[in-house]
Amino acid sequence: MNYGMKEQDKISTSKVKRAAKLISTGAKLGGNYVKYYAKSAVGDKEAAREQLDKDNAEDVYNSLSQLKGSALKVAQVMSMDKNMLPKAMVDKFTLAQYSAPPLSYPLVVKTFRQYFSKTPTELFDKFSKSAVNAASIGQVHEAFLDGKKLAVKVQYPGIAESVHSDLAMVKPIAMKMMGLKEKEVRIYFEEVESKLLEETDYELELKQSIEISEASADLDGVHFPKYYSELSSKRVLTMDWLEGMHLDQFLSTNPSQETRNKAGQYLWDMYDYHINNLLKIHADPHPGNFLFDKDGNIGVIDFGCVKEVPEGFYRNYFQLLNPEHFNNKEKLMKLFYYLEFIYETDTEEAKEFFYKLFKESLYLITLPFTVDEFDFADEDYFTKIYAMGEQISKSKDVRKNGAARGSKHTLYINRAYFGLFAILNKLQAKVNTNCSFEF
Amino acid sequence: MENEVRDINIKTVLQNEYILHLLRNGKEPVTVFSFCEELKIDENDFYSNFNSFKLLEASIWKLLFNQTIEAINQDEEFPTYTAQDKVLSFFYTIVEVFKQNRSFIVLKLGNLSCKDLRPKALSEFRPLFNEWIKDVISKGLETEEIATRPLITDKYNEVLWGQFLYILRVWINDESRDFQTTDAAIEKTSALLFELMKKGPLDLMIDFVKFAYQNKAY
Repeated sequence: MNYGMKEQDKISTSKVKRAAKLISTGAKLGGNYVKYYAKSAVGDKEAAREQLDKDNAEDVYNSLSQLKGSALKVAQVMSMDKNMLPKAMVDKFTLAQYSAPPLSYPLVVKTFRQYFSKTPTELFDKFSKSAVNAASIGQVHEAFLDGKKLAVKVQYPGIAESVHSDLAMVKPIAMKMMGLKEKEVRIYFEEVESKLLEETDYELELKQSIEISEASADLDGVHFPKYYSELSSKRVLTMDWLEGMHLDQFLSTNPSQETRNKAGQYLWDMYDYHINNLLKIHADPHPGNFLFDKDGNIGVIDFGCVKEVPEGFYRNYFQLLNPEHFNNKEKLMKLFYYLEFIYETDTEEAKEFFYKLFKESLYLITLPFTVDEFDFADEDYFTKIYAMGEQISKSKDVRKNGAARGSKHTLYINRAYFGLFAILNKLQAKVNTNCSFEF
Repeated sequence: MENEVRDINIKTVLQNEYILHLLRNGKEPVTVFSFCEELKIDENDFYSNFNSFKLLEASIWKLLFNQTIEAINQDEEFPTYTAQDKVLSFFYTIVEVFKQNRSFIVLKLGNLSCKDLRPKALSEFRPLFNEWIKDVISKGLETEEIATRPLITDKYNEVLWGQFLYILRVWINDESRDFQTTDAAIEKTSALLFELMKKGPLDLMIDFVKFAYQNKAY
């Protein structure tokens, strides 16, 4: 354990420091944007604020799930780091995003020839000439083989090559939006670039998907498509066709409270199982990656973003949930050092300040874990989180203490859990929030 | 019969050796005589197939074109394709065929300027392309995928020739993995051109201007 070793390749050392982002775990809406909204949309009324925060979070989630390609990644990584992108930002990304027309069928044929030396119709019994759906960096075709309905994802050509220049296009917008300097944004963009390049590798996604879906086969209420390696390649990914509704569609059928609780519980248990048993996490929990049926069963698609969590980090991170640690200053301080929330090199004053700050915010964030059952319909809880995030982002003390805080594993876990919380909130689900971590 | 087979073989040998000579020396052989001496064949064997290096080269371009069409026709679905998909198929296939002979093509067309719409090297290739593309266009006109416009319709083949030259230039300079930039160029230019060739705002605009002018309604 290297206390006080500052991790050098930070994702961000932005003006609003990591501390702020970390603490608010996906909750912070930049004060300006909230003000902008309050003024422009509903008038400068405090009462409107609560509703606004909620609407904002919902809108952001909706629009994030509609973004494509590089813009999507920028928004994702930024929202991971800034925790939550205000709607106004996402809208700008939507404008900036590169909207490629669908791939022509001859190009699909060519891609198949290149990797399988066969055309789609030679490989499958039936293959839809036009795409049925757009994925973030490709499109989905419907196919049949031996009576089975399949989803075939085909990647746009030149995605990997265009990543760099695409990002260069989005960069000025991002800088302006966030009020950051080139030097400060660069770190985001390097992270985005490497993530995006990783996601353009369908072979990697295939491997991750097979591993995680096989390991999750016994989970209740969630099912995964079967992936076909012999029908997949670097730019083609074939899996079972999953039936189901997207979150919004599902909610529009007015599912009963019982069904919504069930769906929420399945999701919760899946995350719990993945992190505690596989040390892996589906780090991209945006609503588009889950399909619901009328009974609340869930289909999970898209494993382009699976994060592996190092064991040592995992052990220490979840100790935060341990009341024995949480209420013992010495022990909690030790954890904070390990997780790089606080550095040995900080001044005594700063140490004390951050200790209080992190403890307070962790209390709020880990609240669902500390009770047996948590009602995610509790708007009061979400409002508190938003308020805290905003308060922190405005705090001069946080900004003054330069170094970025929290290792990047924390970021991914927080992003995943905040994503999960947001979905559960949309579901208005009451969930049995047990955690299989053993202290 | 036997003679014919031999002729074909000699033809192929001459084509191959000519390309090899070009690639090794960067220029064509000084004379037919020296070329034949190099190959240890009779000069007559050359002249009974080609009258000059120029014609030999033309035959190579024709061969590349025919290989492309042959490959396209192997796709049973091809006749059912829209004009746009036919053109896309053609371009995707021809860059594959060209890939087998990339060094030769880069040597011949490496300096292709965007202003040069009639590259000398392609003088024998162009009529073949034109003939094929005109056929595709006329089928597209029949199905109304492509709009009939006075004066302009006859120039569509020229436009697609321009597209071909553009794609060729992109391909020659393409340094991306698997020539993915070329693929994107093919997608995008085709999408754009066919969008412009079909009935659309342009026609409505002309129609309106015509109306305004004829009726002095302005």
